[in-house]
Amino acid sequence: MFKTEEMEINLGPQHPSTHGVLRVKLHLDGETVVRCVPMIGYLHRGVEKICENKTFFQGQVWTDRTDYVASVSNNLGWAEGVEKLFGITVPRRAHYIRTMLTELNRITSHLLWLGTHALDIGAMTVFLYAFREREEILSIFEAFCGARLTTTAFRIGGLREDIPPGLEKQVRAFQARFLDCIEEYETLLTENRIWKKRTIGVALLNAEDAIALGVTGPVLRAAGSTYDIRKVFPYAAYAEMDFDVPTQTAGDTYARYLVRLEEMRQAHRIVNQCLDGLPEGPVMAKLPKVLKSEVNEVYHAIEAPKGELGYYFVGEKGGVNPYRMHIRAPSFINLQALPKMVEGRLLADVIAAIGTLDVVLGEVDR
Amino acid sequence: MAITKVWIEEGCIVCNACEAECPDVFHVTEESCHIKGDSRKDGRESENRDEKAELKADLQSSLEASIVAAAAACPVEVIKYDQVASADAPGSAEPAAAPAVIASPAPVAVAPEGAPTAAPAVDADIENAVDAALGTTGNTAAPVPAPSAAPRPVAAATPPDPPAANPAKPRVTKVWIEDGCIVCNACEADSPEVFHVTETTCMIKPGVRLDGKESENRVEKNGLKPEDGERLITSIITASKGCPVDVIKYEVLGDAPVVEAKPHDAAEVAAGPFVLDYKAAPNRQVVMPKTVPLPSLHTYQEEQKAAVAADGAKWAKQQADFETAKAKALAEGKDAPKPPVRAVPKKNENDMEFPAPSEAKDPDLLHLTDLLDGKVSQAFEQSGELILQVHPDGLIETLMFCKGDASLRYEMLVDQTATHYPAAEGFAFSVVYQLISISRHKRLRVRVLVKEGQDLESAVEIYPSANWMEREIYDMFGIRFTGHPDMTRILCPEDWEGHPLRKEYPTLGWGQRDIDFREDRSGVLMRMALEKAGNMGINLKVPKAD
Repeated sequence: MFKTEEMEINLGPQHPSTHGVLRVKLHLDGETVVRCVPMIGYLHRGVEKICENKTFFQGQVWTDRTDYVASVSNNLGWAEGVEKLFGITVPRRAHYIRTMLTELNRITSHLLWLGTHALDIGAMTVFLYAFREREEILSIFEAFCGARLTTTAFRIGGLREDIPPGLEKQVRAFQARFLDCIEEYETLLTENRIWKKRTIGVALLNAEDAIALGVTGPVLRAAGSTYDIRKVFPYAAYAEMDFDVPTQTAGDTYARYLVRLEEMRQAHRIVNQCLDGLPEGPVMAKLPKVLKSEVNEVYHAIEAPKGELGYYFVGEKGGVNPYRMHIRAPSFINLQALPKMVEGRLLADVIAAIGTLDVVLGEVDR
Repeated sequence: MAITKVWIEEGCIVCNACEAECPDVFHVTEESCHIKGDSRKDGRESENRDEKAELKADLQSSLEASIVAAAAACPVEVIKYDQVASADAPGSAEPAAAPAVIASPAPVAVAPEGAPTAAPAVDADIENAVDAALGTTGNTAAPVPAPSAAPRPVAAATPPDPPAANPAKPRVTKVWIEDGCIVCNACEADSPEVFHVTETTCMIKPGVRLDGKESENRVEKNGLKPEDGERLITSIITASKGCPVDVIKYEVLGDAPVVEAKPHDAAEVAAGPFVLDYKAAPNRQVVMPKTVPLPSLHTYQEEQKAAVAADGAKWAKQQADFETAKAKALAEGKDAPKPPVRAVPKKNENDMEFPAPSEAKDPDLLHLTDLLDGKVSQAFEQSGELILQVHPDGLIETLMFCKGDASLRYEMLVDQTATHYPAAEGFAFSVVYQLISISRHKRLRVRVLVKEGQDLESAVEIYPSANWMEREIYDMFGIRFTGHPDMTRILCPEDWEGHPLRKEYPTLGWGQRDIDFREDRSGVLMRMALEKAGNMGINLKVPKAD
């Protein structure tokens, strides 16, 4: 009686749930997604090419602008990658401060994800609570380096300055009440029936597919894998920290929500340990005025809030620029899994899937 | 010769071309074209499609030429007619053989028997026409009558074998300008009566067109006036051939003369149309790398050996110099010079030590070297990373071993990228695969060297995560992967020119303008110059007349 027809629609590039400029070409059979093709590149600025023409110091500024909600993590990846290329030993105190700021940054990234993801699915309230705490952390960044988002927090070899007086107090004040804040989010969402209905069993991705597709970070750990670079290949001061790697086995949107909430608690633990065990000493290594590289090639990966963030450098003899720089962007690789998560499911779940992958389009397109 | 019947097939677009050509027969209404009642035996006015009423006897031959012209001018070719050889007795003597349905200007369906005999006459006519045309335009091209079977470049079809005693001279029925005119004026020089080059494109002049409008004629394809089409055929064809971008198209009724393109002024041709060459802008210069920074244990060891040898040679020379100086001093009876001191390598006071490559000791590297007998170019360790360089032929085999071998188990291809080495000999790119073993907590880098234009085998079958990474490599470097399900660009638009991460690609985008401040449009520089001159007591201002 009724004619059925497969329909092709575009979600984006300017859709409020895509958090950037992402276009998803969807083939729909009624409300069911038959085929999903993410189309990316709208924010491509050629960061890799630009960084090849900047010195090792200047290039870090560009990493702020790839994943702009987790710029401290990007700065850490860049700084440690360059240090690995040159063989620089960083003082222990600098490692601790770096670790602390990176974990605070993980909290801001997850808070932004929580607020916007819940907003997409229809839970408006948590957005305001999440942004309240995020503001506080951004103020800490501002006190440390003068910038809230585009931080360029670190220098190659350590830090430009030690932490300013009063910062420790500020961080401790935030730490004192943050665990209660997480409880607040949980009362709003964890046992919320509508939230559970919209997330449990939605956008499934099992561990086998996740590993095959290169998916890392909370999305992989929510499927049961314990792969966390902070534990597996420790960097900065993580080898000296005591923390757990939260995992879930369901591999759905709800499991990822639980994993990220627990990661915030673990980040809170690590920040406390950094403050308590902060060693005395210099924060900057002794380096020559001009860094001239030798022929070398390194790949350095850190556990960014979104997953494995890798920096690949090729150094030229006597070069002050990287001969080649490549960013292994976790959002870019994780977005590959979107078709696997939504094909055969309902159109409304695509919104949840984009949110739960936690992609930042500035990092996808670089 | 006469036309007995004329009718309008379905599809008239009410363009008025036929009424302009032959107002005695055609009358264009709001919906369609009608055959006038005055001209018909039955006196009714209609399209005459079904009844096919005959024309009045006195009009059958007198209006023949204009009806044929109207049919030829019809842009949708809906005007059809019956033409008979004899004017006086339509359908009386040989009604079966005589009428030839002309679906002009399409080829004739029925080939009349008299056609072959008429052909030479037609050829002669063409020659005359060409001569006439040459005379009018003063063209220097040598005309050669075309063999009637030769396919014309643009004519819609080979002209119909002319019906007996229809020696219509070849003429251009339509001429129009396709998209892409570069406004070079060549056509206007060849045929000023037809073409008019404006600032943006070339127009067909109203004087030669049936509808009297001036336009590119691309959409409407209005016909040329028959007499102009006949007279100007050579010059139009010359202009069409001379067009540097080939946008002048035409349709010919009859045999088109062969015309050679008029050679334009050599300098003009060499210079071509004015195009701003963005790529030649001075700020787009790229400094190409001169070295090949491909880390390798072998080259590192060679360099170290060379450095040690150079240091030894320097020391030997210093000692030899000292010996000669000493001998000279002894001979002259002076004090012997100080013996040289060998320079001690400078102490490293920085917290920085170059991570030198070392021999492969890791069991994974040794195991893989054993497995891939002869396909491993080199295996070494540097900065705590394992590097295995393999031959491109052995790449897929390597990846399969890495994933499948029970003692290796590299489950995830975590990153894949390439580097361009334009200064290298024997290869142009290195492609690296970063593998991790989640279960064994290990990392491995597999590297292959690729020549320019050489395809690599895709790893998508083994590691599905390679899909987008290989597309990115193709997008950024132009290295293609065979067996990839969708080898298209991913970050750049699909019509992007070049591959941005190659070293010869400039950092300024194509089409980015180089601003020349010397032009001083706003007058800022002039004002500054005046101010400076004023400070120095020089008056540059032009005195105004009171």
